[in-house]
Order: sequence, then structure tokens, then C-alpha cells
Amino acid sequence: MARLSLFGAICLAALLSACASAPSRDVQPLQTTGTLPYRHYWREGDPVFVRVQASSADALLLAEPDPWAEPLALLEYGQPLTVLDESHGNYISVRTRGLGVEIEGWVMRGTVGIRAPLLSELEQHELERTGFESAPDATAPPVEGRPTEDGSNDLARGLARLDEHEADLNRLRGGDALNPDPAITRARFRAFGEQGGLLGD
Amino acid sequence: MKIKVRKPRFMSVLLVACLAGCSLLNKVAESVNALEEMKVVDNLEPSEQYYLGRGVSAVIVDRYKPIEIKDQRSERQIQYLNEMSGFIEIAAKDVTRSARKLGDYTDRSFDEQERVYNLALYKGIQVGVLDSDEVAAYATPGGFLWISRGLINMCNNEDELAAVVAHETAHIILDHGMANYRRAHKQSIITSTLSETWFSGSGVGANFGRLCVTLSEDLFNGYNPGQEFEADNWGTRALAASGYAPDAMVAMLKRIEQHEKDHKVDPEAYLAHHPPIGERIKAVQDLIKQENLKGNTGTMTPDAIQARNKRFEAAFK
Repeated sequence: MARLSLFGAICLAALLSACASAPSRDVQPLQTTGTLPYRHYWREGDPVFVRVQASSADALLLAEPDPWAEPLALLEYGQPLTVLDESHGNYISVRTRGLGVEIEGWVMRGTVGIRAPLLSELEQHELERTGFESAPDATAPPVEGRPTEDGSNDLARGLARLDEHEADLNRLRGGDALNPDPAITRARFRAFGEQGGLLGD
Repeated sequence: MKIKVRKPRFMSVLLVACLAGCSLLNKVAESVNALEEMKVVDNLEPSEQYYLGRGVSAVIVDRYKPIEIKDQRSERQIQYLNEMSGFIEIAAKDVTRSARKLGDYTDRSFDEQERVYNLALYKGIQVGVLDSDEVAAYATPGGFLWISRGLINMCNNEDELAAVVAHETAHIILDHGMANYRRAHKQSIITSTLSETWFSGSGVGANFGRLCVTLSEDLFNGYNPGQEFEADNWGTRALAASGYAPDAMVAMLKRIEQHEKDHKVDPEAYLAHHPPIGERIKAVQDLIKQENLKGNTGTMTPDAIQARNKRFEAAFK
């Protein structure tokens, strides 16, 4: 009986030892490439990065957790923010620093992610202009090349048409063709709703 | 005696099983880690989705000529559509994206649902008009929305056009395009293709071209029936959240139903990709009734409706 107990103990020890050596699934590390680009739940103090560009009306820090709240500041693509509170459904309370001034406000949950995005040289320049440092070695390869390897002239022609289309849209949204302003864009969208009597009483 | 002999044998078998099990556990854990590495590329950043949508749009605008801004009228039309889509997208921020709450029409995994909850648009929604009499609309990943002149002409007022925009926006917000691609093709294809595309440093190459063509073919074939029902559901809720008449979705579906009858569309081909339109109409009517959906107070007054229809006619009639 004693031998049996000893045998059982060895089995248990072997089981625990083998299981302990299995690779564990760590919690997603922050700020590194090679992890999920977002995480649904944040903790206070988590660093996050803006994932949208100035052509998006979401690139704004809002005064309240409301889609039509007053914009407090423009957000740059890749701008680091610190999570303060995530208990308001689709909105996250964040703190950021623009031109040396700390400011707190709200962003949509999807607007930010835990992964520092790869920035083009132009985007990196824009971010640094506003006083932020981009993550080291985070320069993106040129995505805006043209397909040449398969001789796909059709795609190249389509992309050229889209360049014109997007420049027109930026201009029509009330900003510069190349440097759109999300605050102006958002104001235009709101005015569209007001003029159509869509915002109600 | 028998018991004494059999117990050690049983324990030996148990030990071997445990060790084998733990070895298997190691392998499973390694596979899980490897899968998570693969998902890194599968979980596209908003910027990556945008560039993909741009490539798909390039195929679309090469097939259909888009309306270019060459005069005041075309400028007004493009501006009108983009302001409408931007307004709807913001006003509908709080509309649910849960597959279950949207009628349980699609079977999203936990990861897919998380992806939808966290979906953001790198440059917002960008609408263009295709210069075609065909009744068609295409929504690509990343926020590009293309509506044909034929479909716009079918709309009788602003609320009906808003129903088209809301339905197509749903396909973007609910990640239908990428979900189809992931199901139809192995994840490894997209992983290797995008790895080469984005991380090789050589710019857009042949693989990107092939990927865009494949995605656009998926798009031309249409979304699956569950996704169409889900887009109707989200779109109708978005209409109500934006102050538009939710009934406009029913009116628009009825126009499409009439168009299908008038133009004798092959029912086999049509039904291959879309659910019967009568079922879609009934589902939307049931939703409006069950959820008691209606526009904001004051948005259905004669003055408000007249203001919307006046600008709609100025732009398109």
C-alpha cells in the first residue's frame, strides 16, 4: 500500500512538472508589434495609440462620451494616449498631451489600440511636429507603391482615379485636399443633420 | 492478489498517459501560440483595411466608371452623399454590433465579434457614385462605399437613399467583406500575402493585386443571406438613430423587389446570393414593430421632411 502511495505521488509530481513546463499563454504585452492590435478591456494607466487618420471625423478628443460632443483637440495618427476610465460602453476616457499641454477627454473605443502603428515618414513628421515621439524602428514600408510585378495596369489606373476622388472628398468636407481637418468634417456632418431636421427637438 | 497486481499496472498506464498528455499539452500550447502569431496579420489595423479597400475599389472603378467632379451638380451630389454617410456613421455610433442582438443571422466567433466591436475606419466612410444604370452598391473593407447612378435614381426621397447608405454602411461596420474572405480562403493565404505586401518593404506587388481582384470578385458575387439580413437589421436601427424614418428601409426593399420583377432577373441567380426579398421586408417590418423604432422627436414633421426632400431633389432630380 505504501508502495502504491509512493507511486501515486511520483505520478502526481511528474504530471505537475510536465504541465509546468508547457508554454504559457501570457497576457498580451503592450506597445509591441506582433500582438493583437486591440484589446477589449483596458486598465487605468494603459498606454494606447490613435489608429485613425485626420480624414476620419473620429480623430478628435471629445468633451463627453457622446457622438456629437464638443471636440477638445485633434488627434494625430499614432499619437500616444493614457487610459483613465473604460466603463462608459463604446467610449474610453483618456489623457493626452498636445504641444506640451495635458488634456483629458473621450474617444471611441475602436479609435485606439495597444499596438503602436507603423508610421510613414510624413506621418512621423506630423506626429513629431505636435511634440510626440514615435516608437523606435516604427517606420512603415511604402504601401502606396504601384503594382508592377504582374503588369496590372488596370489596378494602377484605378488607384490613380482614387487619388483624385479622395483629394476631392477632403476638399468637399471643408478642409485642405491633403490636410483635412476632422473638426471641420464633423461640423459639416452635424450641419447636414440639422439642415435636414434630423437632430430632432 | 489480483487487485495488488492490477493496481501498479493501472498506475503505470496512468503515468504514461499523464506524460503523453503533458507532451500533447505542450504541442497544443505551441500550436495556440503559433495561431496567435498568424492572427497578428489577420487582425488588420484600420490603415491596413483601408489600403485593402482602396485596392478593391481600384478594381471596382476600373469596371464601372465613377462620376468625376466636373461641375456644380456632380460636386453637390458627391458632397451630399458623403455628408449623409458621415452623419449616419456618427449618429449610429451606439447602435449595437452584437450578432445576437442583430437577429442572430450570422455566426461570429468570439474573435470575430471582438474585431467588429473594435472596428475603426482609418479615413471614415468615403462614398463615390458609379456612372452605371445597373442597380448596384458595393461596400469594401476600410470604408469605401460605391453606389450606382441606377440605384440612386430608384430612390424616391432622401430617407430612401439614407436606407441604401445605412445598409451598405452596415456591411462595412460589421466587417462582412473580410469575414467572407477569411471563410472562403485559408488564413494562411491572407497571412502570407499581406506579409509580403506590407512587410517586405517593396511596396505593392503582384500578390496585392491578386488579393484585391479576389476580394472584389467576392464582392461582385454579393454577401451571403445572413449578412444581408444583418445589414438590413443594423441599417434600420441606424436610420432610426439618425432621425430618418426606419420605414424607408421597407420602402427601398419594395422598390428593389419591383425592379427585380420588372427586369425579369433570373431568380436562381438572384437567390443564389440573396435571401428572398419578401423575407427581408418581413424581417425589417417585424424589427420596427418589436423594437418600436422611429426617428427622433421632431424629425418627421412636415417641415423636416420637406427640407430633406428639397435638397434631395436639388441634388439628384
